[in-house]
Amino acid sequence: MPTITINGKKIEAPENATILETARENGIFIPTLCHNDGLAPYGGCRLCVVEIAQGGKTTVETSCTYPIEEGLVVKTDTERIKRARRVIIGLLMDRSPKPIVIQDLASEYGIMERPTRFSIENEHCIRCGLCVRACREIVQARAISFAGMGFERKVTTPFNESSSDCIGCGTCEFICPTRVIDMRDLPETQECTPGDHEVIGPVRSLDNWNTEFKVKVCKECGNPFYPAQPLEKFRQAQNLQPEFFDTCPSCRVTPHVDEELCVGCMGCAVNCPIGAIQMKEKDEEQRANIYREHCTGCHYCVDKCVVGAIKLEE
Amino acid sequence: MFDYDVIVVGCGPAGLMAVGELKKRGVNVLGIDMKIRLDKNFRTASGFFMDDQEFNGEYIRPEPMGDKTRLHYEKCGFTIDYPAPMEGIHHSHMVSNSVIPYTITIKKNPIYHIFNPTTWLANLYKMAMQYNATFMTKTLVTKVKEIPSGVEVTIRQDGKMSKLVCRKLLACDGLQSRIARELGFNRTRGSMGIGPSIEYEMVGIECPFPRGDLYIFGEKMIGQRGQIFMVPSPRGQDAYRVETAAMLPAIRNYEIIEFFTKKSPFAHWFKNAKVVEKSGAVVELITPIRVPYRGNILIVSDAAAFAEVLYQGATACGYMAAKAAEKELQGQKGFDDYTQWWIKSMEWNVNPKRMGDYTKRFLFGRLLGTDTMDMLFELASKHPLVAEEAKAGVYDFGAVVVNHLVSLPGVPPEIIEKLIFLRDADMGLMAAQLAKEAQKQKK
Repeated sequence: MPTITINGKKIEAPENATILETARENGIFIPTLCHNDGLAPYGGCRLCVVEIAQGGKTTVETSCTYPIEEGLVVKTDTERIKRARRVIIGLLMDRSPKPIVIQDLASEYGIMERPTRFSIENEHCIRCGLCVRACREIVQARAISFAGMGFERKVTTPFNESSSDCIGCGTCEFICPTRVIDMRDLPETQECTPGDHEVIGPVRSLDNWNTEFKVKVCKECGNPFYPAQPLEKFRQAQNLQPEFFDTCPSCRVTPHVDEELCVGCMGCAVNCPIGAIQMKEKDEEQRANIYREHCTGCHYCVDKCVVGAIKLEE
Repeated sequence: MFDYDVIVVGCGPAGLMAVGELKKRGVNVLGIDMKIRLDKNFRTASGFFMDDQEFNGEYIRPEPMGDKTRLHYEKCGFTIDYPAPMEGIHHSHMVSNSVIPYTITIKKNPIYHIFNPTTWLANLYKMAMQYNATFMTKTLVTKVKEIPSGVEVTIRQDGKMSKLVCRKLLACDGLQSRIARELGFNRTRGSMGIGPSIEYEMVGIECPFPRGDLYIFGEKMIGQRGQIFMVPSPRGQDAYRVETAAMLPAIRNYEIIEFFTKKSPFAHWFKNAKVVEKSGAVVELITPIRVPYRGNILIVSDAAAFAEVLYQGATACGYMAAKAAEKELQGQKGFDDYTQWWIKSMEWNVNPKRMGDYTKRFLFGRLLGTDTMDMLFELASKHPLVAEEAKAGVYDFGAVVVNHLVSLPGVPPEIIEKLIFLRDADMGLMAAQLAKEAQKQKK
């Protein structure tokens, strides 16, 4: 394992790690806006710059994209770095002064909002690209992307039209650090028009991407809980049974096995519609074991246990 | 590209036999099962052995050889050794609320022999291990996918999913076969009901009746609707397998067996009894799959059967499936041969009426009421059914009982009418109808 020095502290780090990961692992704070542990390094916001000394030369590099090497000497808090960050935050303040994350950073680095002569469009988006990358890397839907250049650069769907690739999962809304993405979950309701009314919902609408999705209703409690389309996508990706998402997470009670009563006859396991029950060894006997992550909460097994060993309550 | 030539899913009597046979013939085969070990029976099995008579197209000739029994499967043409003597059972009793037993006695040849399912499995396992067979235990097959000239099997072991690829797949995963269900074989099958069962194997039972199986029903005996079977167990002269059969929810079975052994008029039999083994099963009576194969997948034994083919039938199916798979690997139509044998041999394939006959012996109490049965049993106790030789088998048992009851003096004509209706009713037709409706709905 290579050894590097961060702020005078000698640190052993695993190979292929980046400086940012290593620093965070060891409790050294480096500010970032565009980094997320679940996504590949991007280097978009440039806030994570650090000073790297190697072979008598000192350079300023983005720590999130810089893989560690043996003998690197890294400084995260020098005056040069602070100055660089001030420039970046100042530019961000000029472009997007409203988001709280930006204002917090600005007050930390002592930057005031500068008056501008022009009105700013889309001032909440900081172009960190988290939504675009999450849509591509995690959801694998590739529904949104950057469009335009320079001051006009923005995140949008192809040709600003309603995107058929969007599955309405809401990952972009969740990951956005400035809450610029407008997602609304509407319950079943009526829209009144003069002389008539129309039933709408339960529906999820993502106004930024001009899309609307039917929301699945739980068969147990009757409450809408999540758009049907992403559930279907997850179901296929995870090889789950068709009925897995018929029940909402709150209604999905995974039964548990009383191992004292269980006789290991496998009556539950062969009857489980999705194969969530397997056998485990206990005192040279076998006992049923329910995999919570696969259980759909159909409680088919509770009905089938001849000794009443499968119960719903603890 | 292929991990194995043949994968056998489910290693009960059929699966173990198939793996052993294939390995013996030099085929690269893997057995997968979700049990923790393969040489033990965990599922309720009555342990009776219909030999010395034609049963499901097979004639098994037992040959006692001191401390073991050699079993000759005459039609399939193979022989296996059961490593213990097999006790012959000559009596069969039926008991209702009045506690008067209705007894059938066959003097000369036994009605059936009894064996221990665990010994049977351990024996098959040992035979397979002689040829260094490979097994995966605690593994569940979650998905089976047909790929060009093979089958892709998704398995889960210790919570981890992985994939195996084989040329041929034998699904020996029993009555509620996941593979048959996943592949859509069950869509055209008609269900005649689900009946969970629990079994206590007990020693030290003081049963005053001559050693034989008991079929017990009636509210006083078991507390609610349902049945109890007591089948003699080879563990000793005072050992029996006490089994229940009731409807859902399955917990009823537990209530029934507890009531029978603790509160019924026969509770005193169980004063000194000890439970040796507990097991359970959920039995579903569904019409058989007539053509049990598709592409490279063969559904073997109970997985494609109506009700059960018993250990003896499963072993024969395992043998035939192994032969079929070997032929298939050589490029011949082995699965076709198996299907021919399957259709010709299994009695409910030859004649669907047999499905109904199989269930009739459970219907006496339901159709006639326990009071009528008590009356009939009392009459019969004066004229017991004792025969020198009878080869009734499980399917004709109901008819034999009806014929005897009808012949008793003093049975009211309306009861005779009901009994004959029960004997001649064609429940197989009903099952076939059910299957047809299921097919229609599918369309």
